[in-house]
Amino acid sequence: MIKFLDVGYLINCRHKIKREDKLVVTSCVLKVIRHKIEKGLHLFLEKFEIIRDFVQKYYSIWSGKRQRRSPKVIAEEMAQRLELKGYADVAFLFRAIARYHIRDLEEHMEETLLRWLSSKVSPINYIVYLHNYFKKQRNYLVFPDKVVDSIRKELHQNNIEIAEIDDRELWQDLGSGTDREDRYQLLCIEKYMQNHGIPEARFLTTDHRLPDTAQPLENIKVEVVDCQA
Amino acid sequence: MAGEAAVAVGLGAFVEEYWTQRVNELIHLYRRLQELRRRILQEVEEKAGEDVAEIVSNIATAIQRHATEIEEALAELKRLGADPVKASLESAVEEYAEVLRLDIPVGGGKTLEDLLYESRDEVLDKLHEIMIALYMEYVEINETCDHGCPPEAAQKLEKLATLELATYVIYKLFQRQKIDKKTAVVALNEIVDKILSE
Repeated sequence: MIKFLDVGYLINCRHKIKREDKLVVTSCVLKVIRHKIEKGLHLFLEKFEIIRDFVQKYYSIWSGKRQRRSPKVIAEEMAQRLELKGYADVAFLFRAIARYHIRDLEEHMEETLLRWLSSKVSPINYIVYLHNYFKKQRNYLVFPDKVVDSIRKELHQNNIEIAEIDDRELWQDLGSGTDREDRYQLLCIEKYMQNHGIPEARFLTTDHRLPDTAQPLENIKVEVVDCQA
Repeated sequence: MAGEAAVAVGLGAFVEEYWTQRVNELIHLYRRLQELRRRILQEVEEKAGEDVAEIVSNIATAIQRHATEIEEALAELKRLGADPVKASLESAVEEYAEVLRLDIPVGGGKTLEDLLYESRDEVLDKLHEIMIALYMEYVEINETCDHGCPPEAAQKLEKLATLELATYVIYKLFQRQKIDKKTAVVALNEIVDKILSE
């Protein structure tokens, strides 16, 4: 059976994606990711002083905690801590950075922070470096597209189909509500299934509320997977 | 005996007389440039207010005032086969990389890392931001200028050098309590924005 992946699955369960399954990601999922990265980035820049203060406090508890780590490890730690602190959007940004090889950011980091300052970095240097990278020549404007491009590239490499959905009319039926993005993803899947005559599909998600949202759509079976690192 | 004498005067003669002496000449010229820099900073500091644009303009005027002496030292360096821009850039990258390892003791048994985590001083945080921003830019330009600096890179370097001097002036003004912490943070923030927008 065809399996669709949601935003949370794509970001949190990248390591669980198996090539043998027939997996599809709709362009709507990538649009939601882009939007979330944009939001996280905006908040990261706006609340940078608070986030830096939080990093300084968290890593100064004992000196061993300050030990240099790989940027991916710090990004993952940051995502977990920020989530607990209620900064879910910024946490999403860090999780994407931790899980995916993001074009340009990785290369830039390799040529500056890692090449000259060794392969492991101090958390305080990393967080300030990231802040400067986003601000540098207004990189924050193009970064969300770079994330989506990098995810697209990886999906292609793993033979995961990206279904391009014309979503212009879908937005009109969505209305408001906190589950708006979930309903949007579901409607995109439904449209794809109708266009391709697919009677039934599975939708892999990490969101425990999604089965309720998907209840009216009987031909989409939601499978909740817990794969937080 | 004669053999020992020959070894004593002869061993390393070529490298010392030819190369080290040449290096010493270079060091002498770099010291001359360092003296000129200190004089420029002192002049700017004496009449500086808190406005970054004004400080930047005063730096440019002071450099202009000492242009003949600076150019003489540069011409001498070039005559001795050195590339002053390349050398300054490479040494700036190395020095920033060293400082940004954060393990340099800065007094009281503390390292820069200790201070960044423990003191949570806004001015220090801003200086750290500026150091990383300058480091990022210098590394990038160092790659571009590997075989001679294109005009736009040279122009960018000039602006960055002025902003680096302005950072020093603001920090000195704050240290001497000629400006308060809030003013220093605002000015340093303006500098980091200018560095990253270049």
